[in-house]
Amino acid sequence: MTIELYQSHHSTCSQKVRITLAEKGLPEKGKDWIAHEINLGKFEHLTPEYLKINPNGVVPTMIHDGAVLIESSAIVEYLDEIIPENPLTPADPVARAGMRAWMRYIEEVPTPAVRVPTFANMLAPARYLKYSDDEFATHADRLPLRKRFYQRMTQKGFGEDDVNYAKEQIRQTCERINRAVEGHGGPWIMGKDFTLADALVASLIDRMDDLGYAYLWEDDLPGMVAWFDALKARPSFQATFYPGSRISARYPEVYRTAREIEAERGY
Amino acid sequence: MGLELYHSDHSTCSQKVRICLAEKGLDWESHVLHFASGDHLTPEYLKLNPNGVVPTLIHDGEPVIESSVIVEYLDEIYPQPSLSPADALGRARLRVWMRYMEEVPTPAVRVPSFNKVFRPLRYENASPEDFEARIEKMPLRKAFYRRMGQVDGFSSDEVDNAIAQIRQTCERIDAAISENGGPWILGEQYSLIDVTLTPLIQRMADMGYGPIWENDLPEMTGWFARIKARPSFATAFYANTNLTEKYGQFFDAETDSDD
Repeated sequence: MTIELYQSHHSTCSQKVRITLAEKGLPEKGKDWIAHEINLGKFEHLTPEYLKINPNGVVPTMIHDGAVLIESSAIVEYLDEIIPENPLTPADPVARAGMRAWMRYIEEVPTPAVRVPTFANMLAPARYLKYSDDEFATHADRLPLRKRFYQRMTQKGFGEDDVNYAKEQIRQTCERINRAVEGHGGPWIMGKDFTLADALVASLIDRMDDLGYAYLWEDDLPGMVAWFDALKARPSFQATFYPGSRISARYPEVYRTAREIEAERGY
Repeated sequence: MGLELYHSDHSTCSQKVRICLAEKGLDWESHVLHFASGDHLTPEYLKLNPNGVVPTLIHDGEPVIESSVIVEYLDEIYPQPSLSPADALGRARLRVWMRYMEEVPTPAVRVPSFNKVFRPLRYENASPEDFEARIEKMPLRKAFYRRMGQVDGFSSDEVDNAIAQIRQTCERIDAAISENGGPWILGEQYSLIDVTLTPLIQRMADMGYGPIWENDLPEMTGWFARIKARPSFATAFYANTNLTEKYGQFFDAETDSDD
Protein backbone atom coordinates (compact mmCIF):
# COMPACT_ATOMS: atom_id res chain seq x y z
CA MET A 1 0.00 0.00 0.00
CA THR A 2 1.42 3.39 -1.01
CA ILE A 3 0.01 6.57 0.46
CA GLU A 4 1.07 9.96 -0.83
CA LEU A 5 -0.15 13.18 0.70
CA TYR A 6 -0.08 16.58 -0.97
CA GLN A 7 -0.09 18.71 2.12
CA SER A 8 1.20 21.72 3.95
CA HIS A 9 2.85 21.60 7.39
CA HIS A 10 0.61 24.17 9.01
CA SER A 11 -2.72 23.65 7.19
CA THR A 12 -5.33 22.47 9.70
CA CYS A 13 -6.95 20.19 7.11
CA SER A 14 -3.58 18.54 6.34
CA GLN A 15 -3.15 18.09 10.08
CA LYS A 16 -6.57 16.36 10.28
CA VAL A 17 -5.32 13.73 7.85
CA ARG A 18 -1.88 13.44 9.49
CA ILE A 19 -3.38 12.74 12.92
CA THR A 20 -5.66 10.09 11.38
CA LEU A 21 -2.74 8.45 9.55
CA ALA A 22 -0.85 8.35 12.84
CA GLU A 23 -3.85 6.86 14.67
CA LYS A 24 -4.10 4.20 11.96
CA GLY A 25 -0.50 3.14 12.53
CA LEU A 26 1.14 5.31 9.84
CA PRO A 27 2.75 8.06 11.92
CA GLU A 28 5.94 8.78 10.11
CA LYS A 29 6.14 11.19 7.22
CA GLY A 30 8.67 10.02 4.63
CA LYS A 31 8.54 6.45 5.94
CA ASP A 32 4.90 5.40 6.39
CA TRP A 33 3.63 7.82 3.75
CA ILE A 34 5.16 10.03 1.09
CA ALA A 35 4.79 13.79 1.53
CA HIS A 36 4.52 16.29 -1.31
CA GLU A 37 4.85 19.66 0.34
CA ILE A 38 2.62 22.33 -1.20
CA ASN A 39 3.78 25.87 -0.49
CA LEU A 40 0.55 27.82 -0.03
CA GLY A 41 2.47 31.11 0.23
CA LYS A 42 3.67 30.51 -3.32
CA PHE A 43 0.15 29.43 -4.39
CA GLU A 44 1.28 25.97 -5.43
CA HIS A 45 -2.28 24.80 -4.70
CA LEU A 46 -3.55 26.85 -7.64
CA THR A 47 -1.27 25.56 -10.40
CA PRO A 48 -2.97 23.81 -13.36
CA GLU A 49 -1.23 20.53 -12.40
CA TYR A 50 -2.52 20.61 -8.85
CA LEU A 51 -6.03 21.69 -9.89
CA LYS A 52 -6.14 18.58 -12.07
CA ILE A 53 -5.97 16.36 -8.99
CA ASN A 54 -7.87 18.72 -6.69
CA PRO A 55 -10.39 20.91 -8.57
CA ASN A 56 -11.18 22.81 -5.36
CA GLY A 57 -7.60 24.12 -5.15
CA VAL A 58 -7.10 23.25 -1.49
CA VAL A 59 -4.90 20.90 0.52
CA PRO A 60 -4.75 18.05 1.32
CA THR A 61 -5.02 15.54 -1.53
CA MET A 62 -4.22 11.89 -0.86
CA ILE A 63 -3.14 9.34 -3.47
CA HIS A 64 -3.71 5.75 -2.38
CA ASP A 65 -2.24 3.19 -4.80
CA GLY A 66 -2.93 5.63 -7.64
CA ALA A 67 -6.49 6.59 -6.59
CA VAL A 68 -6.97 10.32 -5.93
CA LEU A 69 -8.89 11.37 -2.81
CA ILE A 70 -9.76 14.91 -1.74
CA GLU A 71 -11.56 16.58 1.22
CA SER A 72 -10.02 15.93 4.61
CA SER A 73 -13.21 14.56 6.18
CA ALA A 74 -13.81 12.17 3.26
CA ILE A 75 -10.15 11.10 3.40
CA VAL A 76 -10.25 10.27 7.11
CA GLU A 77 -13.41 8.17 6.71
CA TYR A 78 -11.78 6.38 3.78
CA LEU A 79 -8.64 5.64 5.82
CA ASP A 80 -10.79 4.30 8.62
CA GLU A 81 -12.60 1.98 6.19
CA ILE A 82 -9.56 0.59 4.35
CA ILE A 83 -7.44 0.10 7.51
CA PRO A 84 -9.72 -1.75 9.94
CA GLU A 85 -7.24 -1.86 12.86
CA ASN A 86 -7.70 0.81 15.54
CA PRO A 87 -11.22 1.76 14.42
CA LEU A 88 -12.02 5.46 14.77
CA THR A 89 -15.75 5.04 14.08
CA PRO A 90 -18.31 3.61 16.54
CA ALA A 91 -19.66 0.20 15.55
CA ASP A 92 -23.22 1.08 16.58
CA PRO A 93 -25.19 2.95 13.85
CA VAL A 94 -26.77 5.50 16.22
CA ALA A 95 -23.38 6.32 17.77
CA ARG A 96 -21.89 6.48 14.27
CA ALA A 97 -24.59 8.99 13.27
CA GLY A 98 -23.79 10.93 16.45
CA MET A 99 -20.14 11.07 15.45
CA ARG A 100 -21.05 12.18 11.94
CA ALA A 101 -23.30 14.93 13.32
CA TRP A 102 -20.18 16.14 15.18
CA MET A 103 -18.19 15.96 11.93
CA ARG A 104 -20.76 18.08 10.09
CA TYR A 105 -20.77 20.59 12.97
CA ILE A 106 -16.95 20.74 12.90
CA GLU A 107 -17.01 21.43 9.15
CA GLU A 108 -19.74 24.07 9.39
CA VAL A 109 -18.79 25.95 12.56
CA PRO A 110 -15.20 25.78 13.90
CA THR A 111 -13.43 24.96 10.60
CA PRO A 112 -14.44 28.23 8.87
CA ALA A 113 -14.32 30.17 12.18
CA VAL A 114 -10.65 29.31 12.79
CA ARG A 115 -9.76 30.78 9.40
CA VAL A 116 -10.87 34.24 10.57
CA PRO A 117 -8.30 34.91 13.33
CA THR A 118 -5.71 32.95 11.33
CA PHE A 119 -6.10 35.35 8.43
CA ALA A 120 -6.66 38.47 10.51
CA ASN A 121 -3.73 37.90 12.87
CA MET A 122 -1.20 36.07 10.69
CA LEU A 123 -1.85 35.63 6.98
CA ALA A 124 -3.07 39.15 6.20
CA PRO A 125 0.08 40.79 7.62
CA ALA A 126 2.37 38.01 6.35
CA ARG A 127 1.00 37.65 2.82
CA TYR A 128 -1.79 39.97 1.72
CA LEU A 129 -1.29 43.44 3.19
CA LYS A 130 1.12 44.36 0.41
CA TYR A 131 -1.51 43.70 -2.29
CA SER A 132 -3.35 46.49 -4.05
CA ASP A 133 -7.15 46.20 -4.25
CA ASP A 134 -6.87 44.99 -7.85
CA GLU A 135 -4.17 42.45 -7.10
CA PHE A 136 -6.18 41.10 -4.20
CA ALA A 137 -9.39 40.89 -6.27
CA THR A 138 -7.48 38.99 -8.96
CA HIS A 139 -6.15 36.58 -6.36
CA ALA A 140 -9.62 35.96 -4.89
CA ASP A 141 -10.95 35.31 -8.40
CA ARG A 142 -8.51 32.45 -8.92
CA LEU A 143 -9.96 30.44 -6.03
CA PRO A 144 -12.43 27.70 -7.02
CA LEU A 145 -13.94 27.74 -3.51
CA ARG A 146 -14.13 30.45 -0.86
CA LYS A 147 -13.79 33.52 -3.10
CA ARG A 148 -16.38 35.16 -0.94
CA PHE A 149 -14.35 34.51 2.20
CA TYR A 150 -11.39 36.39 0.68
CA GLN A 151 -13.60 39.17 -0.63
CA ARG A 152 -15.12 39.68 2.81
CA MET A 153 -11.71 39.63 4.41
CA THR A 154 -9.98 42.08 2.05
CA GLN A 155 -6.18 42.20 2.14
CA LYS A 156 -6.31 43.95 5.54
CA GLY A 157 -7.81 41.03 7.42
CA PHE A 158 -11.24 40.82 9.02
CA GLY A 159 -12.94 43.52 11.05
CA GLU A 160 -14.14 43.44 14.61
CA ASP A 161 -17.55 41.85 13.99
CA ASP A 162 -16.11 38.93 12.04
CA VAL A 163 -13.35 38.23 14.55
CA ASN A 164 -15.74 38.42 17.49
CA TYR A 165 -18.24 36.11 15.82
CA ALA A 166 -15.47 33.62 15.03
CA LYS A 167 -14.43 33.65 18.69
CA GLU A 168 -18.05 33.08 19.69
CA GLN A 169 -18.20 30.04 17.38
CA ILE A 170 -14.97 28.59 18.82
CA ARG A 171 -16.29 29.18 22.30
CA GLN A 172 -19.50 27.33 21.36
CA THR A 173 -17.41 24.43 20.02
CA CYS A 174 -15.44 24.29 23.28
CA GLU A 175 -18.64 24.39 25.32
CA ARG A 176 -20.01 21.47 23.33
CA ILE A 177 -16.82 19.44 23.81
CA ASN A 178 -16.93 20.31 27.50
CA ARG A 179 -20.57 19.23 27.81
CA ALA A 180 -19.90 15.97 25.95
CA VAL A 181 -16.87 15.08 28.07
CA GLU A 182 -18.54 16.03 31.35
CA GLY A 183 -21.77 14.30 30.32
CA HIS A 184 -20.32 10.84 29.70
CA GLY A 185 -17.06 11.15 31.64
CA GLY A 186 -14.78 11.32 28.61
CA PRO A 187 -12.00 11.29 27.88
CA TRP A 188 -13.05 11.74 24.20
CA ILE A 189 -15.91 13.47 22.42
CA MET A 190 -17.88 10.24 21.87
CA GLY A 191 -16.87 8.68 25.21
CA LYS A 192 -14.11 6.24 25.99
CA ASP A 193 -12.91 5.79 22.39
CA PHE A 194 -10.97 8.31 20.33
CA THR A 195 -12.91 8.85 17.08
CA LEU A 196 -12.81 10.83 13.85
CA ALA A 197 -14.61 13.68 15.64
CA ASP A 198 -11.58 14.13 17.91
CA ALA A 199 -9.24 13.80 14.92
CA LEU A 200 -11.08 16.52 12.97
CA VAL A 201 -11.35 19.10 15.74
CA ALA A 202 -7.82 18.56 17.16
CA SER A 203 -5.99 20.78 14.67
CA LEU A 204 -8.56 23.56 15.02
CA ILE A 205 -8.14 23.76 18.79
CA ASP A 206 -4.36 23.49 18.44
CA ARG A 207 -4.42 26.42 16.00
CA MET A 208 -6.43 28.55 18.42
CA ASP A 209 -4.00 27.59 21.18
CA ASP A 210 -1.05 28.48 18.94
CA LEU A 211 -2.59 31.89 18.19
CA GLY A 212 -2.99 32.53 21.93
CA TYR A 213 -6.75 32.02 22.27
CA ALA A 214 -6.67 29.32 24.97
CA TYR A 215 -8.30 31.90 27.24
CA LEU A 216 -11.55 31.01 25.43
CA TRP A 217 -11.69 27.72 27.33
CA GLU A 218 -9.01 27.35 29.96
CA ASP A 219 -10.62 29.23 32.84
CA ASP A 220 -14.09 27.74 33.06
CA LEU A 221 -14.39 24.61 30.89
CA PRO A 222 -12.57 21.86 32.81
CA GLY A 223 -13.90 19.05 30.59
CA MET A 224 -12.54 20.83 27.53
CA VAL A 225 -9.17 21.38 29.24
CA ALA A 226 -9.01 17.68 30.19
CA TRP A 227 -9.84 16.71 26.58
CA PHE A 228 -7.06 18.92 25.18
CA ASP A 229 -4.54 17.61 27.75
CA ALA A 230 -5.42 14.01 26.85
CA LEU A 231 -5.07 14.88 23.15
CA LYS A 232 -1.64 16.42 23.63
CA ALA A 233 -0.50 13.27 25.44
CA ARG A 234 -1.32 11.00 22.48
CA PRO A 235 1.57 9.85 20.27
CA SER A 236 -0.46 10.81 17.17
CA PHE A 237 -0.43 14.41 18.37
CA GLN A 238 3.36 14.50 18.48
CA ALA A 239 3.55 12.90 15.02
CA THR A 240 1.12 15.46 13.56
CA PHE A 241 2.56 18.58 15.10
CA TYR A 242 6.20 17.99 14.30
CA PRO A 243 8.61 20.93 14.74
CA GLY A 244 7.82 23.74 12.33
CA SER A 245 4.24 22.59 11.70
CA ARG A 246 2.52 25.48 13.48
CA ILE A 247 1.61 28.76 11.90
CA SER A 248 3.52 30.69 14.56
CA ALA A 249 6.67 28.96 13.26
CA ARG A 250 5.74 29.60 9.62
CA TYR A 251 5.61 33.37 10.03
CA PRO A 252 7.54 34.20 13.23
CA GLU A 253 8.16 37.73 11.98
CA VAL A 254 4.48 38.67 12.26
CA TYR A 255 3.49 36.42 15.17
CA ARG A 256 2.00 38.05 18.23
CA THR A 257 -0.34 36.47 20.77
CA ALA A 258 -4.08 37.17 20.62
CA ARG A 259 -3.80 39.23 23.82
CA GLU A 260 -1.01 41.39 22.36
CA ILE A 261 -3.00 41.94 19.17
CA GLU A 262 -6.19 42.71 21.09
CA ALA A 263 -4.37 45.26 23.31
CA GLU A 264 -3.39 47.18 20.20
CA ARG A 265 -6.22 46.52 17.73
CA GLY A 266 -9.04 46.51 20.27
CA TYR A 267 -10.48 43.09 19.28
CA MET B 1 -41.70 3.68 17.86
CA GLY B 2 -40.47 3.24 14.30
CA LEU B 3 -39.53 6.34 12.32
CA GLU B 4 -40.64 9.86 13.14
CA LEU B 5 -39.53 13.01 11.33
CA TYR B 6 -39.58 16.55 12.68
CA HIS B 7 -39.54 18.61 9.51
CA SER B 8 -41.10 21.44 7.58
CA ASP B 9 -42.95 21.20 4.28
CA HIS B 10 -40.74 23.59 2.36
CA SER B 11 -37.31 23.25 4.05
CA THR B 12 -34.78 21.88 1.55
CA CYS B 13 -33.03 19.84 4.25
CA SER B 14 -36.35 18.24 5.23
CA GLN B 15 -36.98 17.49 1.56
CA LYS B 16 -33.60 15.74 1.31
CA VAL B 17 -34.69 13.30 4.02
CA ARG B 18 -38.24 12.86 2.64
CA ILE B 19 -36.81 11.85 -0.75
CA CYS B 20 -34.51 9.34 0.94
CA LEU B 21 -37.40 7.87 2.95
CA ALA B 22 -39.44 7.57 -0.25
CA GLU B 23 -36.58 5.90 -2.15
CA LYS B 24 -36.35 3.36 0.67
CA GLY B 25 -40.11 2.83 0.64
CA LEU B 26 -40.38 3.62 4.36
CA ASP B 27 -43.40 4.74 6.36
CA TRP B 28 -42.85 7.45 8.93
CA GLU B 29 -44.76 9.61 11.35
CA SER B 30 -44.75 13.33 10.54
CA HIS B 31 -44.23 16.19 13.00
CA VAL B 32 -44.40 19.47 11.08
CA LEU B 33 -42.62 22.41 12.73
CA HIS B 34 -43.63 26.01 12.06
CA PHE B 35 -40.69 28.40 12.08
CA ALA B 36 -42.93 31.44 12.34
CA SER B 37 -44.12 30.24 15.76
CA GLY B 38 -40.55 29.37 16.80
CA ASP B 39 -41.25 25.61 17.05
CA HIS B 40 -37.58 24.86 16.20
CA LEU B 41 -36.24 26.92 19.13
CA THR B 42 -38.35 25.56 22.01
CA PRO B 43 -36.40 23.93 24.87
CA GLU B 44 -38.04 20.57 24.06
CA TYR B 45 -36.94 20.65 20.42
CA LEU B 46 -33.44 21.94 21.26
CA LYS B 47 -33.07 18.86 23.45
CA LEU B 48 -33.54 16.69 20.35
CA ASN B 49 -31.63 19.02 18.05
CA PRO B 50 -29.19 21.42 19.78
CA ASN B 51 -28.63 23.27 16.50
CA GLY B 52 -32.28 24.36 16.38
CA VAL B 53 -32.81 23.40 12.75
CA VAL B 54 -34.92 20.87 10.88
CA PRO B 55 -35.00 17.99 10.21
CA THR B 56 -34.59 15.58 13.13
CA LEU B 57 -35.24 11.87 12.68
CA ILE B 58 -36.30 9.76 15.64
CA HIS B 59 -35.65 6.07 15.15
CA ASP B 60 -36.90 3.79 17.92
CA GLY B 61 -36.64 6.74 20.31
CA GLU B 62 -33.10 7.80 19.32
CA PRO B 63 -32.67 11.24 17.71
CA VAL B 64 -30.50 11.54 14.60
CA ILE B 65 -29.75 15.07 13.34
CA GLU B 66 -28.23 16.73 10.22
CA SER B 67 -29.85 15.84 6.92
CA SER B 68 -26.63 14.41 5.45
CA VAL B 69 -26.13 12.24 8.51
CA ILE B 70 -29.77 11.13 8.53
CA VAL B 71 -29.72 9.95 4.91
CA GLU B 72 -26.46 8.07 5.48
CA TYR B 73 -27.95 6.52 8.63
CA LEU B 74 -31.09 5.43 6.76
CA ASP B 75 -28.92 3.90 4.06
CA GLU B 76 -27.03 1.88 6.69
CA ILE B 77 -30.10 0.72 8.61
CA TYR B 78 -32.22 -0.04 5.53
CA PRO B 79 -29.61 -1.25 3.04
CA GLN B 80 -32.04 -1.98 0.18
CA PRO B 81 -32.17 -0.36 -2.27
CA SER B 82 -28.63 0.83 -1.63
CA LEU B 83 -27.92 4.52 -2.19
CA SER B 84 -24.12 4.31 -1.64
CA PRO B 85 -21.35 2.65 -3.65
CA ALA B 86 -20.28 -0.76 -2.36
CA ASP B 87 -16.52 -0.01 -2.46
CA ALA B 88 -14.52 2.32 -0.20
CA LEU B 89 -13.24 4.49 -3.05
CA GLY B 90 -16.72 4.97 -4.48
CA ARG B 91 -18.00 5.87 -1.02
CA ALA B 92 -15.17 8.41 -0.59
CA ARG B 93 -16.15 10.01 -3.90
CA LEU B 94 -19.76 10.16 -2.78
CA ARG B 95 -18.64 11.86 0.46
CA VAL B 96 -16.55 14.42 -1.45
CA TRP B 97 -19.72 15.35 -3.33
CA MET B 98 -21.70 15.44 -0.07
CA ARG B 99 -19.20 17.83 1.55
CA TYR B 100 -19.24 20.03 -1.56
CA MET B 101 -23.07 20.03 -1.53
CA GLU B 102 -23.02 21.13 2.14
CA GLU B 103 -20.37 23.82 1.70
CA VAL B 104 -21.35 25.37 -1.63
CA PRO B 105 -24.95 25.01 -2.95
CA THR B 106 -26.73 24.46 0.40
CA PRO B 107 -25.79 27.89 1.84
CA ALA B 108 -25.96 29.53 -1.60
CA VAL B 109 -29.61 28.56 -2.11
CA ARG B 110 -30.51 30.28 1.16
CA VAL B 111 -29.47 33.69 -0.21
CA PRO B 112 -32.14 34.13 -2.92
CA SER B 113 -34.66 32.17 -0.79
CA PHE B 114 -34.31 34.61 2.09
CA ASN B 115 -34.24 37.64 -0.17
CA LYS B 116 -37.39 36.65 -2.00
CA VAL B 117 -39.47 35.06 0.75
CA PHE B 118 -38.18 34.49 4.27
CA ARG B 119 -36.86 37.97 5.07
CA PRO B 120 -40.02 39.78 3.99
CA LEU B 121 -42.19 37.01 5.48
CA ARG B 122 -40.53 36.70 8.89
CA TYR B 123 -38.50 39.79 9.62
CA GLU B 124 -39.80 42.79 7.73
CA ASN B 125 -42.26 43.81 10.40
CA ALA B 126 -40.05 43.05 13.40
CA SER B 127 -38.47 45.91 15.33
CA PRO B 128 -34.65 46.10 15.03
CA GLU B 129 -34.37 44.96 18.67
CA ASP B 130 -36.69 42.04 18.05
CA PHE B 131 -34.71 41.06 14.95
CA GLU B 132 -31.44 41.09 16.91
CA ALA B 133 -33.03 39.17 19.80
CA ARG B 134 -34.28 36.48 17.43
CA ILE B 135 -30.83 36.11 15.85
CA GLU B 136 -29.22 35.88 19.28
CA LYS B 137 -31.39 32.86 20.08
CA MET B 138 -30.15 30.89 17.07
CA PRO B 139 -27.49 28.30 17.88
CA LEU B 140 -26.12 28.33 14.31
CA ARG B 141 -25.84 30.80 11.41
CA LYS B 142 -26.15 34.12 13.24
CA ALA B 143 -23.71 35.70 10.78
CA PHE B 144 -25.93 34.70 7.88
CA TYR B 145 -28.84 36.67 9.30
CA ARG B 146 -26.65 39.67 10.15
CA ARG B 147 -25.28 39.80 6.62
CA MET B 148 -28.81 39.64 5.29
CA GLY B 149 -29.96 42.50 7.47
CA GLN B 150 -33.53 43.02 8.49
CA VAL B 151 -34.39 45.75 6.03
CA ASP B 152 -32.21 45.47 2.95
CA GLY B 153 -31.74 41.75 2.42
CA PHE B 154 -28.56 40.43 0.87
CA SER B 155 -26.67 42.83 -1.39
CA SER B 156 -26.67 42.24 -5.14
CA ASP B 157 -23.04 41.24 -4.70
CA GLU B 158 -24.02 38.44 -2.30
CA VAL B 159 -26.80 37.32 -4.64
CA ASP B 160 -24.40 37.29 -7.63
CA ASN B 161 -21.94 35.20 -5.64
CA ALA B 162 -24.69 32.74 -4.65
CA ILE B 163 -25.82 32.41 -8.29
CA ALA B 164 -22.18 31.80 -9.32
CA GLN B 165 -21.98 29.01 -6.75
CA ILE B 166 -25.16 27.38 -8.06
CA ARG B 167 -23.81 27.70 -11.58
CA GLN B 168 -20.58 25.98 -10.47
CA THR B 169 -22.63 23.18 -8.90
CA CYS B 170 -24.61 22.71 -12.13
CA GLU B 171 -21.40 22.69 -14.19
CA ARG B 172 -19.97 20.00 -11.93
CA ILE B 173 -23.11 17.86 -12.25
CA ASP B 174 -23.02 18.34 -16.03
CA ALA B 175 -19.32 17.41 -16.21
CA ALA B 176 -19.77 14.38 -13.93
CA ILE B 177 -22.52 12.95 -16.11
CA SER B 178 -20.56 13.65 -19.30
CA GLU B 179 -17.54 11.86 -17.86
CA ASN B 180 -19.22 8.82 -16.30
CA GLY B 181 -22.00 8.41 -18.84
CA GLY B 182 -24.82 8.96 -16.32
CA PRO B 183 -27.69 8.71 -15.82
CA TRP B 184 -26.83 9.79 -12.24
CA ILE B 185 -24.08 11.88 -10.66
CA LEU B 186 -21.91 8.89 -9.73
CA GLY B 187 -22.80 6.99 -12.91
CA GLU B 188 -25.19 4.06 -13.05
CA GLN B 189 -26.12 4.12 -9.39
CA TYR B 190 -28.66 6.64 -8.12
CA SER B 191 -27.10 7.71 -4.80
CA LEU B 192 -27.34 9.98 -1.77
CA ILE B 193 -25.84 12.86 -3.72
CA ASP B 194 -28.69 12.76 -6.24
CA VAL B 195 -31.06 12.68 -3.24
CA THR B 196 -29.52 15.67 -1.47
CA LEU B 197 -28.94 17.93 -4.46
CA THR B 198 -32.51 17.51 -5.72
CA PRO B 199 -34.24 19.91 -3.28
CA LEU B 200 -31.58 22.58 -3.86
CA ILE B 201 -32.03 22.49 -7.63
CA GLN B 202 -35.81 22.24 -7.30
CA ARG B 203 -35.81 25.36 -5.08
CA MET B 204 -33.80 27.29 -7.68
CA ALA B 205 -36.08 26.06 -10.49
CA ASP B 206 -39.17 26.96 -8.46
CA MET B 207 -37.88 30.50 -7.88
CA GLY B 208 -37.36 30.96 -11.62
CA TYR B 209 -33.63 30.36 -11.83
CA GLY B 210 -33.82 27.44 -14.30
CA PRO B 211 -31.99 29.46 -16.99
CA ILE B 212 -28.81 29.10 -14.88
CA TRP B 213 -28.49 25.62 -16.39
CA GLU B 214 -31.24 25.10 -18.97
CA ASN B 215 -29.62 26.93 -21.87
CA ASP B 216 -26.17 25.42 -22.09
CA LEU B 217 -25.83 22.45 -19.71
CA PRO B 218 -27.73 19.62 -21.45
CA GLU B 219 -26.48 16.84 -19.17
CA MET B 220 -27.52 18.79 -16.09
CA THR B 221 -30.91 19.51 -17.66
CA GLY B 222 -31.39 15.84 -18.52
CA TRP B 223 -30.40 14.80 -14.99
CA PHE B 224 -33.00 17.09 -13.46
CA ALA B 225 -35.71 15.82 -15.84
CA ARG B 226 -34.92 12.22 -14.80
CA ILE B 227 -34.94 13.24 -11.13
CA LYS B 228 -38.42 14.73 -11.46
CA ALA B 229 -39.69 11.55 -13.11
CA ARG B 230 -38.80 9.41 -10.09
CA PRO B 231 -41.75 8.54 -7.84
CA SER B 232 -39.77 9.79 -4.79
CA PHE B 233 -39.93 13.32 -6.19
CA ALA B 234 -43.73 13.43 -6.18
CA THR B 235 -43.82 11.88 -2.70
CA ALA B 236 -41.38 14.39 -1.18
CA PHE B 237 -42.81 17.44 -2.96
CA TYR B 238 -46.44 17.05 -1.97
CA ALA B 239 -48.81 20.01 -2.30
CA ASN B 240 -47.54 23.33 -0.92
CA THR B 241 -43.92 22.26 -0.50
CA ASN B 242 -42.65 24.70 -3.12
CA LEU B 243 -42.21 28.36 -2.19
CA THR B 244 -44.21 29.59 -5.20
CA GLU B 245 -47.20 27.53 -4.08
CA LYS B 246 -46.99 28.33 -0.40
CA TYR B 247 -45.88 31.96 -0.66
CA GLY B 248 -47.07 32.99 -4.12
CA GLN B 249 -47.56 36.57 -2.96
CA PHE B 250 -43.76 37.10 -3.03
CA PHE B 251 -43.42 36.01 -6.63
CA ASP B 252 -45.33 38.65 -8.54
CA ALA B 253 -43.62 40.54 -11.37
CA GLU B 254 -42.50 43.33 -9.09
CA THR B 255 -40.48 41.25 -6.63
CA ASP B 256 -38.96 39.29 -9.49
CA SER B 257 -37.47 42.40 -11.03
CA ASP B 258 -34.83 42.89 -8.34
CA ASP B 259 -32.65 39.89 -9.26
